[in-house]
Amino acid sequence: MNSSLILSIVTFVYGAAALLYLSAWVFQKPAWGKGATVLLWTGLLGNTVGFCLRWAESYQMGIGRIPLSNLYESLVFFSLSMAALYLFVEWKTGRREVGAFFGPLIFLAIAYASLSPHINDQIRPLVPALKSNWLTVHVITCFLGYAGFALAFATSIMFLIHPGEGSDRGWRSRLPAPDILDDLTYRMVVFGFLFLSLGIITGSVWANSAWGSYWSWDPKETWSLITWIIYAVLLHARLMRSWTGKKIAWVSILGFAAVMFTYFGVNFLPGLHSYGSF
Amino acid sequence: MEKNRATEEQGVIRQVWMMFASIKLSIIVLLLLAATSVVGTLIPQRPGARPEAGEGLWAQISSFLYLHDMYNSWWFQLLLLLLAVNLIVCSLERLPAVWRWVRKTARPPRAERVRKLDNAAVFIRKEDLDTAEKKALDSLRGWAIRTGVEREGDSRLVHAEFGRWTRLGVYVVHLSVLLLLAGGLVGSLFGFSGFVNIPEGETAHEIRLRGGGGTMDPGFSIRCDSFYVGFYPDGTPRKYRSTLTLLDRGGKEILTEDIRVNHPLTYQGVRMYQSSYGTAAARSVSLKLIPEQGEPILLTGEVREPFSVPFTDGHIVLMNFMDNFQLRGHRLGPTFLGFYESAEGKRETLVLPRRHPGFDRMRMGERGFAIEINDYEPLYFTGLQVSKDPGVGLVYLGFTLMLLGCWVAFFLSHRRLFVLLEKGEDGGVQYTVAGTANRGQHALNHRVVRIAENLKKA
Repeated sequence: MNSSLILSIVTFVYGAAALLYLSAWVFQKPAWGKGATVLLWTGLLGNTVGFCLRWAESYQMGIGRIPLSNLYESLVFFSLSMAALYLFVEWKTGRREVGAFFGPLIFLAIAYASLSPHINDQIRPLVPALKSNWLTVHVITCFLGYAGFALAFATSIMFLIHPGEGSDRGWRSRLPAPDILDDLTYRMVVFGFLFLSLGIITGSVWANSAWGSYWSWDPKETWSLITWIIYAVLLHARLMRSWTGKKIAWVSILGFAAVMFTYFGVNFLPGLHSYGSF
Repeated sequence: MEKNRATEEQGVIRQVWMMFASIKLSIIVLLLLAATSVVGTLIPQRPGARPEAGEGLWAQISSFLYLHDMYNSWWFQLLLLLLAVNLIVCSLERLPAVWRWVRKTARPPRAERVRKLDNAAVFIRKEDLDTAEKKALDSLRGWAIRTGVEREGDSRLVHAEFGRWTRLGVYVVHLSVLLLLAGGLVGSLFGFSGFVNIPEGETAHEIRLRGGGGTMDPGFSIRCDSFYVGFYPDGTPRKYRSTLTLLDRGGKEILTEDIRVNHPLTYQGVRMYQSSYGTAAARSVSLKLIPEQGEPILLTGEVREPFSVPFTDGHIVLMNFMDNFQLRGHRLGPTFLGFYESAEGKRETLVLPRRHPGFDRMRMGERGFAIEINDYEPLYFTGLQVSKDPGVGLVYLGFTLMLLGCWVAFFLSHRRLFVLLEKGEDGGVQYTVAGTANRGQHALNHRVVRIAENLKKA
């Protein structure tokens, strides 16, 4: 039993959980929702075990490093942070409808890692520049931020397709009330913003200790700044100009598009951060 | 007339001021910064390379707009300046009012207002006013600092307050952004960034500035005493390390230290980072001579020293080592260049790439033997990034304040909680629990519910 196998199984567990969340919502079966939660917890546990096992495997190979350095490992950690954040929110709000929209995102992240033929899941040694504790803090904070933005993206989509309070138009009106979704979007953006700030800051301190410049306008750095600015604009619009609802949902979707480009798109541009080999 | 003009001028100044104070402007400037940064990631940037005014409209536009060095362009700096001015004016415009809020002890509201609050929870308990007051005070103390009681006839208002200062959080964030901009400015004005390659055993007196800015003297010399590189089994570098000695202008040694990637050396504010390495020359070379018939033989010697060839009585001299030799557009990698001189004194040029051992084979027929580079002991050079940035302190202070400010601005709020106690007709006390907050209404309502529940149970 190695980590790759466990993580492949986790992919299917997440997939099943997502499907169950969707069915529970569409067919109005609360019991299925409970099952989905149990499955997602199982997936999260397996994901964590797989992550830790991979860490241990790197020590057995004499490399010894936290698995957070290539596209495969980052996707595995991304789905882990998304599942953890979602389960926390579900536990706090007691609502499972968000799972119908967010579950597929958790599944997609790890499925991309496990199933894409272009992604190498071998454990490779770290080049000297990456050997730093800042790597750990930088990656963890960035991905917690991304997870927050991803959840805000899901609730924004839900807000936009909601037919409106009080209307009874089938499956779409069984979503949480618009103001709950709007509030959740805002909270997740705040969470993401704080962690993205932390991620940019830790990356910056790291770059300064490794290369002697805390900011070098590398495409990934620049794109993370662009993302940060979009969410800063969202927060100002909401807090100072009282934007809510649709406008905020659209800005949050735009912000998440920037997150996705920072994560994947930048690999097509030359720079320090590209995960390479696409 | 005079007076009118004065007010008119004041009006214009006021209008400009208010324009700079507007959130709309902040949002526009931020979005412009984001949009133009996108352009900067799509067009490859060559910092420091001054654009040449070439032929054609595009070249002229690109030169005027510094599209290849966008982040240092006049207009990008102007946007940053605009952001800074906007932040300062915005904060100055709002700060006095907020400051008054923070300084002033808020007067407890009238009973009327407490009853009208959205989250007001009302219930009745059979007890006397004094007991109720004590209970209410106790329950509020756990939630907030600064508690008090207002007594008026048959009604008492127990009030508590927390976090008036949290209203300043957002200004801490604004200050942090200004510090980041200031740190960047200080760094670009008083700092430098360059690099230098030093072969083992040699000393560098100046460094080359990035972006074609020429060379500069950092005030001391750097000697590379030795360089070490270790590899993983698959050939990727695992670790590299340089032993450096700094020397003053008189050539006196100041200090000796090892540096590694992620472990730089700092001296007088100048930091030296291990950033790259390469092969500068070869110390000793082992050649493999392969005759047309018979066993190959190995010869070991040094660059510029002749190697005697036993089969022909001629000799080989390696003149030069190139770390990455290019021949007609082909990269041959580490290569030795030299000549073979036959016993008759006829010279023939040699190109001996380490990675292409067969390269010399074609000459075998004329000469009677082929030459390969069997091995060599490289003399490395260490590649150092040398930089000085006096703005880093400001930037780090900015980072700290940004995180603190964001935490305060998003997660703390100025809360006031009230428990209004009124004597009922039947001898009981009517409780009205309510609260206000400048942010986080949801959490506050939750808290009001919990306080009410606690009071009902007590």
